[in-house]
Amino acid sequence: MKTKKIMAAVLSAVALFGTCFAAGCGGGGGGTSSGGDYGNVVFNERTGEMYLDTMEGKTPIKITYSAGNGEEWMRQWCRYFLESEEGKDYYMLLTVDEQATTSMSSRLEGGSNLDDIYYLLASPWQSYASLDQLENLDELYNTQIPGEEETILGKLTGTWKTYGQAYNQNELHYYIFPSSTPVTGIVYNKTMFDEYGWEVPETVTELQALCEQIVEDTDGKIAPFVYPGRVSGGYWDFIGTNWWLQVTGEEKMNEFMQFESPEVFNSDSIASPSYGKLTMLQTFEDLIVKNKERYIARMSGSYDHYQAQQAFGAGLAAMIPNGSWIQSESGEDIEDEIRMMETPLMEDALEDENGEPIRYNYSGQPSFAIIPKAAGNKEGAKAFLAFTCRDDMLQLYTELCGAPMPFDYDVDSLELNDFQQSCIDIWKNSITWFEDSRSPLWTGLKVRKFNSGDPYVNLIINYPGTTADSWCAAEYAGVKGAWDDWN
Amino acid sequence: MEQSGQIKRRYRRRKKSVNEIVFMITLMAIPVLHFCVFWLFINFDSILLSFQRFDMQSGNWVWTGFSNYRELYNAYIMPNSVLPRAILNSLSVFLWNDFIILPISLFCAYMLYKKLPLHNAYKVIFFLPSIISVTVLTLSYSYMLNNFLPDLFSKLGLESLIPFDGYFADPDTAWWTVLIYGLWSGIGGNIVLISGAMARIPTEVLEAGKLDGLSLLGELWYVVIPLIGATLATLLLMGTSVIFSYFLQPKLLLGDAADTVGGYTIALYIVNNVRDNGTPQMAMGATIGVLCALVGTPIVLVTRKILDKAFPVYEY
Repeated sequence: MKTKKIMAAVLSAVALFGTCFAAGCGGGGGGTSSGGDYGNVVFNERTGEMYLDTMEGKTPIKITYSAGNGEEWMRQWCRYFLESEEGKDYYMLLTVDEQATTSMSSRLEGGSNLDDIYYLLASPWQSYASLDQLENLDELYNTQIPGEEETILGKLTGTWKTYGQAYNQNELHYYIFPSSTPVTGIVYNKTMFDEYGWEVPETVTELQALCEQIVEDTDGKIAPFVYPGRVSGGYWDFIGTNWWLQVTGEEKMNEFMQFESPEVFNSDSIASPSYGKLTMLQTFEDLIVKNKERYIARMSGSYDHYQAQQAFGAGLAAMIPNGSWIQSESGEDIEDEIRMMETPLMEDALEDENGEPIRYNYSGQPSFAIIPKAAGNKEGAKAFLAFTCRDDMLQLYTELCGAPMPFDYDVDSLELNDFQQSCIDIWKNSITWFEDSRSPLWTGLKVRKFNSGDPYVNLIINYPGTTADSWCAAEYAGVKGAWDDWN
Repeated sequence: MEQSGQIKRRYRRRKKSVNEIVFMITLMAIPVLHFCVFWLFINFDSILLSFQRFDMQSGNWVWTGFSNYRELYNAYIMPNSVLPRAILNSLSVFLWNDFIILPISLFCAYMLYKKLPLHNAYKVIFFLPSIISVTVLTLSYSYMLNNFLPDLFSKLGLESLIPFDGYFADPDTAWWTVLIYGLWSGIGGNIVLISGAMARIPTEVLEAGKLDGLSLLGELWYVVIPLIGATLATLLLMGTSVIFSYFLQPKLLLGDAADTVGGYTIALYIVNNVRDNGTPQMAMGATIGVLCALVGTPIVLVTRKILDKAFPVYEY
């Protein structure tokens, strides 16, 4: 009897521990307010309701977003919207949901209880548009921004001018709304660099010399790099695609993204955009892969992105492939000063007419906002999205998140911290590029930028069984073999 | 008078039979509807879907003949394809479950049945992993292999036992971590079922065995296993289903690098290609599903036939 009681107590304790542990790991759900200042606007952290004076007689605008860049930006946007003339008839209902992107497809298919706006991470949204699940935003794009003379489309910059378009019933319309444009590349520990007197490298050759110096100066106790091996590509693509752009150029990369023939994957041809891919992977192989036991922190291959960022914060490595979001995501784990460096230049990087190297910023597949066609308050949602394009709202976002938005607005007058400033400086001095294609092979998910799986972690783990050359050759053979069936 | 009585009886009988029919229809409606919607429709639709393709421009499904099957074949034969390894891994899970985990579970259950010292404590130890959520369990298992073991080996001066990229990212150890996790977490559930079957064995049979001079292992082999054969057969048969359904453990343990470290399974391939990629890839999911059914059905039927012969049911 006594044994049974002990067993029951042990089992209950374990079950309770498991439940608490699982709940602790859950993340999403309720707000974790930083206690921001919302003026006269009331924010109920528990329910996510936000209103000015009262909710009675007003219509809710329901917004779901993820907290990758923190939560304050959304709350502040909502606060200013509610205080404005445009927001006087509304109140906001905010939900933080880290799984919103992965569950969006089934939510849209369900079609009920949908929020009015979803802020999503990179995902195959073109199929949502094709299935007529998204609101047509053509009118919104041509709306004049409140308090300004420009339309939203007129104020947009770069690829975003057309990226939001997709086919529905054979017609091309805007279906998604732009979100931030991250800056990616190499984040480094400035405190550590200053302490040891290390210089920020300008070129890949200098980067290699720096890696050697780091190993030498610290007797191998600090690795040059740490990376998240459990995440697709190990974040190396934030360096890799920047290198690929440097040697191939924006124009050729866009030609690649049209996927007009399998030859765009032929890395043996100097004329092919994939020649730059091979060059980039060879550089990665020479620099990182061949020196992995000296240049990469032990156990990196088993880290997820949080663990890698924690290891970087703990000083196990001097650099990490990452982006402008690292401070919002893992700022608490990083006590040292950090900065973003311009991606070191490849030996055969393209130059402009003045002989200066052309700088690129690969922002990664972009995040965006959608309004579901079955949403309850589409007009309110559009009014809110238009409001967020005002100069002051864009500046507010950049100040809070340290990332620019793809609009034409002034970032020079902003008060940014040093890390944010280093990101904005890179953004200002470079051409931002990300994958954009209307090829049915791309939107139909038949071809990818790397069509034979992730090359970076594959090389790190399987070299010399897999090399840059063999990986590219396998990719080309695979695409060539399947091309006829895809078309 | 007689005629009116006959009419009344006939009317009552007819009324009774109408009521019976209504009752039977009501009784059967839900299971039949369930069968029609969740089996017949879904399977029929999957077969049709495997011959279609989603046209992104028009938003319609169009017939494409066998192109999905050809595309899958191309994906299988292309260099760096994850599919051959995924098939091998899926089969290895079946073999591991049926020929490693089940015999160990049987042996442990028998030891507990024989009330060896601390058998109640062992019952709790074995059963614990089965009642904790798989997410929590994989987290603690990851912590053990990523932190605890490397620290322990470092302190013992056994650094050579720690792969540079960690156990989950080394192709030589990654799949073994998944299999060993399966052993750790799967043994408890089996023990509960097998212990339940053993508890039903009549003590007279065991005593007769003892009188005949059977040893502990002899008793297990000649008496216990034949008498719990039906339970073992069920567990063995259930092992075949994991060939096409095992994905959560490698997904949680190996993350996005599952393909790089040889940790894919057939189910993980389907999940990653369909769930994460939405509508355009649904046809490919249906195609793999149809092929799995074509391959899986004979495997299940043959296994069942063999098990029926190997484990005849004894009434007691």
